[in-house]
Amino acid sequence: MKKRLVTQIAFVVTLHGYTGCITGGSEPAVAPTAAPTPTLPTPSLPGPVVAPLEGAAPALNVYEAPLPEYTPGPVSRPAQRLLDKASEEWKRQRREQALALLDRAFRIDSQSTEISLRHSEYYFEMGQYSKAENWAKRAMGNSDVTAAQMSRAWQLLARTRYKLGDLEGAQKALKEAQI
Amino acid sequence: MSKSKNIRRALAIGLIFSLSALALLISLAAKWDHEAKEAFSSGLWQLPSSVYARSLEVFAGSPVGQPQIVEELQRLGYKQEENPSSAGQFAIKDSNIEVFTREFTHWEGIEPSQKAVIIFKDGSIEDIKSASGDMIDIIRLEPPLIGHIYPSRKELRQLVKIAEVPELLVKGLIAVEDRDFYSHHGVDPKGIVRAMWLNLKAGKITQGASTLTQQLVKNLFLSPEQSFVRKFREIIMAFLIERRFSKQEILESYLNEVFFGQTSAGAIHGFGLASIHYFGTELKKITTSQMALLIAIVNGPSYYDPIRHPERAKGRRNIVLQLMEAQGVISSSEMQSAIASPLDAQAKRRRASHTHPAFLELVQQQLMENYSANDLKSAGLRIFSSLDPRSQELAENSVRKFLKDHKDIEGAFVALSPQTGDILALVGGKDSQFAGFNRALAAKRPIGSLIKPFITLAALQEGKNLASLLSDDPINIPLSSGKTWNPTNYDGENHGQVPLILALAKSYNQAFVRLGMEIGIEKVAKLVSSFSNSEIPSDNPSLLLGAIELTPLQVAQAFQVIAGGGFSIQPRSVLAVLDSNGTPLKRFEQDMKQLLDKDKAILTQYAMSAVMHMGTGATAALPSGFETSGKTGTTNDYRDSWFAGFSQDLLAVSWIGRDDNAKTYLSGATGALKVWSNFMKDSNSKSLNFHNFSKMDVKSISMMTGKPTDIACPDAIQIPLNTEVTLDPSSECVSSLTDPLITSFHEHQRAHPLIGKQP
Repeated sequence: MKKRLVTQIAFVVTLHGYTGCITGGSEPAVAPTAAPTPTLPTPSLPGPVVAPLEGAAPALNVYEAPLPEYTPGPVSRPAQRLLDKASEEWKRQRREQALALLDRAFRIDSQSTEISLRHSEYYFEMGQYSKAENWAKRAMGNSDVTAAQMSRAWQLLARTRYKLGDLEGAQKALKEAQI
Repeated sequence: MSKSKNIRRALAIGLIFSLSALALLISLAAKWDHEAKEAFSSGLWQLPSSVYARSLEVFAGSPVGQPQIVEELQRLGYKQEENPSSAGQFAIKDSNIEVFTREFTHWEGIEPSQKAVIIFKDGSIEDIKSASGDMIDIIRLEPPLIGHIYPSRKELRQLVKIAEVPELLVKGLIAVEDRDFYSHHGVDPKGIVRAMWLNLKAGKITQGASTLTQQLVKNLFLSPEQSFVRKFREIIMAFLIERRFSKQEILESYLNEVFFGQTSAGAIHGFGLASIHYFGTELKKITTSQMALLIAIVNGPSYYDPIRHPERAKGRRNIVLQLMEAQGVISSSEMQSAIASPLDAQAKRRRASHTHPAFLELVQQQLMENYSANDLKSAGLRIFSSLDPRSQELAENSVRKFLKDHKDIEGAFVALSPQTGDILALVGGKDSQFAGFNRALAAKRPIGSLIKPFITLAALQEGKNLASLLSDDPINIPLSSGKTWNPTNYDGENHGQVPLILALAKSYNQAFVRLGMEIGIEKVAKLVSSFSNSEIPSDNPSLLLGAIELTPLQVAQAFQVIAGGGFSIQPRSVLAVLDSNGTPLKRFEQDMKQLLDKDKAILTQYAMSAVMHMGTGATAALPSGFETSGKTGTTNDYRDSWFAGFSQDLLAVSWIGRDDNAKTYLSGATGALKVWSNFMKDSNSKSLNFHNFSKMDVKSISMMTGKPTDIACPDAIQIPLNTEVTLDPSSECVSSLTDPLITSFHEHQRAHPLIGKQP
């Protein structure tokens, strides 16, 4: 009887863990997936994480916050089709397939800022921060980059630098993102 | 007494002999049985890996014209029809193409077969519509097969499971080749008698007596010689195999083993590949007439080759159809209809008739980091490469055409996408079909003046600009050996003070050695080393004139950083690998890293475009308005002729030289540049755009004084500069200008002025 009770408690705890109740997070529940999820390395930063902007004092770690809402820039029709397919695959947790579709899109439209940004976002989500950083930089260098896309690229750069332990670089990037 | 003794002795000897023979027979049978068992259980065949080229993406806005799509469809073995009704067919209707694509398994999934109309306008794709008129955003054609990585025997096959084989084909095969297959035990005495009778009646050999099992044994285990011993072994092994394996297993093995003929790519084995080879379609989709033709070919692959001997093949096919009808496999009307149908074998075979050994060697090199040599040769991997067949053909033709009159002079060529790092073409020598010394990968040669764009870049990083004045006066450099090095210019002249952009365009040695010494040899060596991913020694000033050895591929890798806007991408020849069942194994990602500030890359690109307008690259025969950047390279005594250059989406490096390092009497401009421009002019690649420099200033600089001058002056050339650059006061127009190339560039810029940063 006692053993059964322990098992039930363990089950409830596990369930809460999945729904985020234990950590108190407000993120929606994430279903367990077939594809392995890369673990994010914990950056070793000097001292506590602080708000990066002068005069601002947000309670939340801005580098861990979800990327702000963003309206994507223009993309050619065939590339958009591949980006849409990549999104579908990404939602289905088929990450390698999603990246392969982004590669195809990049091959047909390598000057598209949107495709570079998407690469950066996906690599960031996968915990591959150096790749995410390079793709964000690549997006910034395009001649047709819009102000919104530039800001998005800086946002991504700020987060990747933070994850890579470059707090100073992250702060600079975040500042650029808000100009 | 003595007689009976002799009889007993003879009997004893006979008994001993018989027992010995029996023992020998038993031991041989046991050996053969073991051999057969081992062969079947360990997999009968080593499957070579198949290497595919890139898949052509077809979409609105693509600069691919109708002729190129037709070329690709023909390369893939599509048949031109009035009205495409099944996969693998197309029709040309006015300026449009109607195509019924084939299904294909790519890395990220299946691309379904679909019918579409590709609409062209002004030499590019305007739109794509489905059969129902809906708009299609993008179609991906299946990739052309370009070669194989073979085991020791060059056998090609596509394995089929017995359940996937049309029942009619199996019935037809048995009806023709071995009608008692399901009732005999490997050898068919009834069949032997029947064959003898029929052959006797016909007065010639019309029917063999070997069962399918015997044929399988013969193909798998025995040599083609005709001897009693071999026949004996065939019979024993056929019997043993029948004991050990089911009829279905034997049949499946036969269907995959049987020989269908020889191609330049290897021997065709099995019905699976034969169907694709002859009809361009999967086995499960072939018609009755096509099945009969395949069965007919089995009887004599060379004799009944439907491409070389269509009438003979048709006659045999019709006999097969009659036999099928006689044994109730098909009806009389089905037979009549099949007999009336054309032979249907492809006029142009779709197996890779052109091999690209140089490129395949690169593919193997890349894959050896992830797979064993044995897996590559026998696991039947499907390797998706970056090769663009059209670029490859252009490159091969350009090298061959230029070198056909140059005995003993060799060449190498590399083309890649500067944005993705995909290697599009690679030529290892003038005989591109010969798998010998691969100069593109292995010939390390001094790069000569190809070093100068990298010195330019290093100078920009050190605060110079394209208008910076360099001294082209003579220079003496003491060496550690105690000697003095006195580099001179190609034309033997000294040019005084010259702007950096002009020094690069004209490839002035003295100016660049001075500049390199000012920057520091180590910095230049480090830069080239990081760009080309190679070790560059920095102990000799002659490095500043390109006395460093790189392969053409390494040169391409180094220039990719400039052409790619400062981002280094590891060149790749393999994009993805699937196993023999189509399951994804590995994808090769773009390995990208920023090595250079984008503005510096753009400025270097611009300086290299001046080479094409007013410098050593000006003789390139390119279409009007097609902007490229490039640089020539020539080494001492004309031993090596180089050219490296790029458009927006295509970078190519050409090398010409001799394997024994003797003189070629060709400079970069008279040798490698010609090969390069011949390739680029037909490449369909996008022009560089140097019109708008929104983040930089644009100034008019005198090519005579290096000072700002009025744009109307004949010696004025517009140059983009970083906004923080300040220049000396303006100079007067120089009327004595006599360089027609500068005049021509000046006039070009007057017609197409650069736009700088707006105040």
